[in-house]
Amino acid sequence: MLNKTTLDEQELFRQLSAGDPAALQVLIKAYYPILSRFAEKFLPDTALAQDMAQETFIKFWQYQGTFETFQGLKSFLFTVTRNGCLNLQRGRGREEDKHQKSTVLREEETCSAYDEITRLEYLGQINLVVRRMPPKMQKIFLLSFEEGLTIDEIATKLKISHKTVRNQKYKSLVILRNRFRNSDGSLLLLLHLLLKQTGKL
Amino acid sequence: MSFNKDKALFAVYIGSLLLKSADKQPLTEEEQKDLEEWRQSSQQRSGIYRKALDRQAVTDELKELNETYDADQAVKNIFAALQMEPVTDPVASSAAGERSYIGRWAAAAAVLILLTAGWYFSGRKQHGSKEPIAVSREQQIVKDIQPAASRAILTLSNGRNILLDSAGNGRLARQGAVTIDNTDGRLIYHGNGNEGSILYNTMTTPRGGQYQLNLPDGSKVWLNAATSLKYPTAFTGSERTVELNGEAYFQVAPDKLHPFIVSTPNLKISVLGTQFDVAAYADEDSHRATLVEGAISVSNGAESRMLRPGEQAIVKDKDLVTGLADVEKAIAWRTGFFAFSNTDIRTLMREISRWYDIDVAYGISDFPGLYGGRISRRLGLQELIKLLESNGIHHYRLDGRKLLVLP
Repeated sequence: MLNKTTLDEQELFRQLSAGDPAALQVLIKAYYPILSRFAEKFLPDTALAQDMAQETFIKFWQYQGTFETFQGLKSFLFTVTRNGCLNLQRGRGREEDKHQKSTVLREEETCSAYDEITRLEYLGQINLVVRRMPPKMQKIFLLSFEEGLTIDEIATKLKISHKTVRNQKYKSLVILRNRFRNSDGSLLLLLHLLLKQTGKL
Repeated sequence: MSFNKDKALFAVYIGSLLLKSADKQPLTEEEQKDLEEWRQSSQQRSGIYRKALDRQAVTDELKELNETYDADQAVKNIFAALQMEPVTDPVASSAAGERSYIGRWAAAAAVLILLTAGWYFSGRKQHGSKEPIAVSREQQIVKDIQPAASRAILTLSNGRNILLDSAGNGRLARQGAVTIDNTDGRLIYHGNGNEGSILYNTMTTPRGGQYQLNLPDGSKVWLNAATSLKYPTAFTGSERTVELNGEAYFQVAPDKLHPFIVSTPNLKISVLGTQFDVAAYADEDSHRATLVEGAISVSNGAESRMLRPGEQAIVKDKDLVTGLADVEKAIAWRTGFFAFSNTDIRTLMREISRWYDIDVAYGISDFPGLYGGRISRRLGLQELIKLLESNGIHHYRLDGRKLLVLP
């Protein structure tokens, strides 16, 4: 079961658990739309739903390092979002709730909420692969996926290999070097630390 | 009615099976069975399964999702709220590491000015005589003092000491009907000791050590450096009591019938099921409990208060004060950072000496000025010192395991 997708996911989980902000950024790019869509199921106001999704990530970052599995982490994201929506609902629609909803309805609602998690998590995992790429590659990926290629096949097709990642990294080093032309000691220290990191590749 | 965590986890699990299925990845027999059962359990679910295999629908929805919700703006908002800098190129910097900075806290303005990389300079002149840091072979050979690693001593009820580190995995001991397993920096208690006498164990982390402990009721405790926790091998009484000296983060398993009590010399915390941090180092003049989730009651012996999530109780000189907490700062050690605000150099150094197992001495007696900032706990000591020195406020000299702080 150790295909590229699984390996990438495990690597991302490791980085998230280690507190790497870059990993958080990847997670947000992939799961923010997912969680917003999820929240909208409970809070029809789109703006509120998006706020809720953002709140979830903020709360999540305080807990990184405490998850045992990536699935546990994702389950946390959905649960926190849902609970946040529940709290908001309780605060606002109290009067309406008393008259309208029965407990039976609540249970049905909850059942479909879990199914929604399943559906959105499935999409989220694909999004995790997609959103790491530059926009042009994303388009190609989606086209290929539509045609029926597996994620591994698409990766091979796009030649996403370690070599490409390594080149990208050196590019960013140059950008940072130019940015820090003016700050004496920090430039060299930063370079020192970054070089150490690339050495790990 | 709150959301069921286990059901949510199961839903996520099925979602991952859906992907494997749609992506033609192999599933184990158990996974196939789980997916089939799920698929057949309702019309809605078989509908979701069908749609998952409809690639056109999937790509359409993905495009729509990514266009509707601006994730880039969300990144900016979230990072701003977390006081972090967004990373410039996520693809390239996947192993960029943590951003660290430390700077002088302007007592009046209390504003942290960050350069784009997150470095904060107090505005004083850089030292002209400072050599650029050469990445030379010789320097790298000098062994650096490492930050805290999983290391602790377990003291059994009969007084026997067992040295724990992540190297010794497996069944460690038996205490009556209770078994103790050690795995990768985590000690796990299993079992159901319903015997007459209660057996106590103590876990102690040295300076430079940290450890995780799973108590017999399922509660989890993370011990920071220089901390000791005394606990029974089985919770048989009406209360679940543990004794703490130092700092630990608790994730208490819910049990409304048996309150969980954390007892420290100055603070007593009572909980039903929740997450919170307790900092009670003997050499610090204030002890505190910070509530992350749930509800706890804190007492200093004279009075007690209830805390709500995001609140903190501090005991100093026998006074109990409650208020809003900077939760992220209080649990920063759990997330791999030192986090300070309005902190004097000595408090900062005590934290560092516990984490790196070093002694700290001061060249002169008075070091005014307060620090604010965030440093990764994963740095080697030499890197940390370079960081501290980089803002030009103090000098540091390291001799073996003794750090001298100079003006």
